[in-house]
Amino acid sequence: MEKRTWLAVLLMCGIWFGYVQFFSPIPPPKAAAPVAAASAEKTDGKNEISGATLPADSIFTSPPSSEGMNYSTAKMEVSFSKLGGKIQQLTLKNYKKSVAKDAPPIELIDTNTAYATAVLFSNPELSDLSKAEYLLETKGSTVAAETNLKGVLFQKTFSFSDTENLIETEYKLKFPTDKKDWGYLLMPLGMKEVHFDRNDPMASWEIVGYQSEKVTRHNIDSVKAEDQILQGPTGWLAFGNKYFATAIVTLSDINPDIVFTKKQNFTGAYLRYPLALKEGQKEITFKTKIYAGPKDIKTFSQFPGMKRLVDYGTFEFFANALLAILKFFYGLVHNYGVAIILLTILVRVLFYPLSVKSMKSMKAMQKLQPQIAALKVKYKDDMKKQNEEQMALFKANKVNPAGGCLPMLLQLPVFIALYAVLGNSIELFQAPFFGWIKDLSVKDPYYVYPVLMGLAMLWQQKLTPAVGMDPMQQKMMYFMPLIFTFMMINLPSGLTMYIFVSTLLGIVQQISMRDPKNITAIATTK
Amino acid sequence: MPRILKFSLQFISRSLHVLLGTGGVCIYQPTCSHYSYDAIQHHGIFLGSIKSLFRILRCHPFAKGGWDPVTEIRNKRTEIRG
Repeated sequence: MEKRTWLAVLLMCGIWFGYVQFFSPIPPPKAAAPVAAASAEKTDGKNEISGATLPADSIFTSPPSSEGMNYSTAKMEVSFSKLGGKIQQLTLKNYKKSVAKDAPPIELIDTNTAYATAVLFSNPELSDLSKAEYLLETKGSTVAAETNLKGVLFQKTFSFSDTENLIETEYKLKFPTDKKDWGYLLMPLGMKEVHFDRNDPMASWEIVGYQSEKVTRHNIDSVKAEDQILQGPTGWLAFGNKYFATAIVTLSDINPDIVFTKKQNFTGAYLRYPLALKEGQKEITFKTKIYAGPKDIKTFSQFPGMKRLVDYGTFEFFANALLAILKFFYGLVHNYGVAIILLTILVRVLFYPLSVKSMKSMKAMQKLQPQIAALKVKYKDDMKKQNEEQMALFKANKVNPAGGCLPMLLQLPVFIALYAVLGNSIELFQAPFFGWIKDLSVKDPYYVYPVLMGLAMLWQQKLTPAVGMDPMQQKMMYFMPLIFTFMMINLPSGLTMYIFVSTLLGIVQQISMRDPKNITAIATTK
Repeated sequence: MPRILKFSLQFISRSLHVLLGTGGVCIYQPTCSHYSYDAIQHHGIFLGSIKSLFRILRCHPFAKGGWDPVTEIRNKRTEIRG
């Protein structure tokens, strides 16, 4: 028995350690390897929709960068390229790459992601428009870009706002001939060279589309070579990491498709607008809003479905509620660490009646332990009878074994949701606590909280009587804090702090509730 | 295997009770972890787990609780635990 139990514990420890070792921490960073050249692009040209062929790979060449002009708002610094007439660099003024004082600002559009405002054309006659030289001009808060390619006039305007991370864009095409079908106009979002690291919030790139009120999301490294075409009323397309995103929100009457794709020089997705003119029409205009900034739920609520760009997973509902509570507390104390502690107290208070009830009945039950043992002997062949007698005994002594496991388990979604909130909310991004905790959304650099959490659990465990377990099993259970500490060692410090404070409050509650007579009773009962 | 299973279930149950701060008094007999053990032993991992899940869903403050074994046949090996 003992040997086997030890074996079981070892096995479980092994599984935990294995899990922590291989799934949880950062795997050796993959060098940003270029996407395998010319991989399985056989389907191209076959998926014919409304007579026009899909764009050839060649139009997704690396976007040109060149001298141009700069534009700056209170929120962002934007650099336009003369070639292609597009944004080649966009940095956020209010966010830095790390908590270090001299850290550079966050760059949302750079040479690797410069597709953001490139407009591409499937028609070979127009494809040079994305490489042509543009005339750039600033008029107030608007930057205009214009070019003329073999009689086709292409005018772009980018209107900036000082209060929001939004750029309103308008793309106007004027054609010299009566030709009606010009193929497609594409607005891509994605990367040239795929770089993805699940454990780095800033490199966990994903591409997300919103269409027919449904969210479709792909990690950038799992976009398939075969095109995935989504058709229906399209709301937006976004490309981002855990905290920041660039999104194109559609505003035109013309509805685009969303196409997820992986080419030699481009991985991501594009909005595909049909460039079809009516009889006598020679001009066509497309309007969008480009969002480039933090994934802020409040800003996103102005666009349908955009809140879901923040990925809170299964317990989205709880997560949104928790974030609202955290923000409320933050408003009072201006420190997210303190806000988390206040949240912990709130959750404890909510579950207080329940845990008091269960603790009281646990204590009462312990007093009855000798009588229960006697019943066990008396009715050892009739469990049903034994149970009935036991329930009668409880009733006679006014023990109410109320509670049950379900309410207790209801706390689990709160844990999971809090994990999602801490790991995915821009509000918690680089949010400091006191002392050594400079960022609550990443792991504790000195592992203080995971260790404190383990110690608190150990204490809590000593206080919680393990009724019916033999001493050997009870000893086994002391591995629990150790396992939890290792399991949570890399989790956001805000979360380990939450569990630590929560356990501490549980201990306080338990100690304050026990009366001196019961201490010996607890200590001696198995 | 049975011992490992039993221990794992006890471990999970104990962890949850300690972590989530309830004393470990169940309104049912056998307790949820014990019930899961019996269910998995008797019905296999798949059906057993589903039965266990439903048992946990039954285990709330408004339920009457009481004697609720997997099957009456296995009564004898079921002991009372907290």
